[in-house]
Amino acid sequence: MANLEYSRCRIAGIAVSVPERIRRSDEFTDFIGEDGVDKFVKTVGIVQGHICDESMTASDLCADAAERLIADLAIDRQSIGALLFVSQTPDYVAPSTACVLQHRLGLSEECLAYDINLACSGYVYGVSAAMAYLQARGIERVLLLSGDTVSRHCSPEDRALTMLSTDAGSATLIERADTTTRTSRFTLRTQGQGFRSLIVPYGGYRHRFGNATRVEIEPGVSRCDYDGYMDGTEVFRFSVMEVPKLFKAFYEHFAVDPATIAQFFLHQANLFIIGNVAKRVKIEKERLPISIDRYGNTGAATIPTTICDHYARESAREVTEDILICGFGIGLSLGIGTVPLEGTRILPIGICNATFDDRIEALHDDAKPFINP
Amino acid sequence: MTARETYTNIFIESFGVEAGALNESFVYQCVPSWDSVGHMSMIAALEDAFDIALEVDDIVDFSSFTKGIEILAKYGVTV
Repeated sequence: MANLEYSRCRIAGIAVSVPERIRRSDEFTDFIGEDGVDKFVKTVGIVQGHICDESMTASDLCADAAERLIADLAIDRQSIGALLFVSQTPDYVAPSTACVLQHRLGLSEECLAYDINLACSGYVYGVSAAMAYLQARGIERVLLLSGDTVSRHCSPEDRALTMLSTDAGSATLIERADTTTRTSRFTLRTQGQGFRSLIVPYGGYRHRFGNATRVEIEPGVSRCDYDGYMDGTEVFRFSVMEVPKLFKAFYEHFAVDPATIAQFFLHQANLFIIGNVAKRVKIEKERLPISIDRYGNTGAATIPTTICDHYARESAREVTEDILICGFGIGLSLGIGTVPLEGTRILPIGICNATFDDRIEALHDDAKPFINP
Repeated sequence: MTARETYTNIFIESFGVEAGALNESFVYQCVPSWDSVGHMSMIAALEDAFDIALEVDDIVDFSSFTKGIEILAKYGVTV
C-alpha cells in the first residue's frame, strides 16, 4: 500500500501563472444557449478561465511561475537538485519537458529532471515524489512544476469538455528542513482498469496515427482521434465513490483528525463533484476553498492555483498551517496528503505572456557535421 | 406545492420542456438539455428541494422521469 510519511522537509514557496486571455462561459451562449450557460455556471461552477493560444504550453506557464518564485525566495538556482514536471500536456512526445526546463531555468547540470505523466492527481504525486527525494541525502531542494494546458487537450467543439478546460502552470519549491518536527503524509492509489474513462487515444505509440479531422459524435460533440475523451458518467462515479473511500482510508491509516486541518484543497474537477465529495467526507464550506469559478479546471494545476488564490489573492503571504491536498482523475489515479505549511511563501497568481522558441524548424540545419571540416 | 408539482417543475426548469412531455418515455439524453451537466443540475435541485442526499448509484441510475419517482421513494419522498 502506498501510505507514505515524510519528515525534515518543508514547502518553501508556491507560485502560479496563467495566460492573459480570459474566456468567460457566456462566450458559449451561441453553442449551448443562454439557459445552458446559466445551468453550466450553476452546476459546474466555471464563470471564467484563462486560455492560452497555440504558441503557449504548460511548460511556459510553469517556467514563468518558477522564475517569479525563485526571484521572490532569492535562492541560488544551483541549489536545486531535482526538477519534476507534472503534466499531461508536455511540449513533446519525447524528450521529457523537464529536461528542457532545466536548461531554460538555468539550473545546474547536476540537477535530475524528468516528467511525471499525471494530471488531476499529479500535484499530490509530485509533492510526495519531491519529499521522497529529500529523505535521501544528496538533494537539498526540489522544484516541482505542475501544470496543464487542458484547453489544448480537448476539442473546442466538444460541449462536455471544452467549457471545463482551462490553463495554468505552477511552481512549488520544497526543501530539506532538518529542524522541523512536522511530518507530511500521503496515500496514493491507482485504478488502471478505468484508463479508458479519460484518455487522449492517439498520438502515442499504441495508436500512432489517427484521423485528424473532427467528426460529430453526437449533437454538440465533435472530436478527432487526437482530442481528449471523457466518459462523464464513469468519471463522476469514480470521483464521488472512490475519493470518499480514499479519505476514510487515509484518516484511518495515519490516525488523522480532520479537525486539525485548516483548509482542504481538492482538485477543482467541477463544482457538483467537489460539493458531493465534500458532503460525503464532511468538509464545511469555510474550510473548502474554491477557485474553479475564476480559473476553471486546469488539470495538474488546480490545487496550487486554489492555494495561491486562497492565501495570496491580494498580495504575497507567508503561511503556517496544516492543509490537506487531494487530487483525482485521469489514470484513473488518486492521491491525498496532509502537508504542513511552515513559513511557506505564497505568491499571487501571475499572468504569463512569454513563450519559448525552440527553433524546431532549424532542427536539421543546426546539426553539426560528425567530423569538423 | 405538492411533491409531484415540485418534481415536475424541477424537470421543466432543468430541461426546458413542457409538462406534457414528462412521461415514461422521458429518459436521459432524450432532449439535448438532459446531458451530464443537465443531470447534475437536476439532481442538485432535487436534493435541495427535498432535503435529501442521493447515493451515487441512485444518481447514476436516475435514468428517466419514471425511474426518478422510484428512486425518490427510497428517500421517503412520495411523488
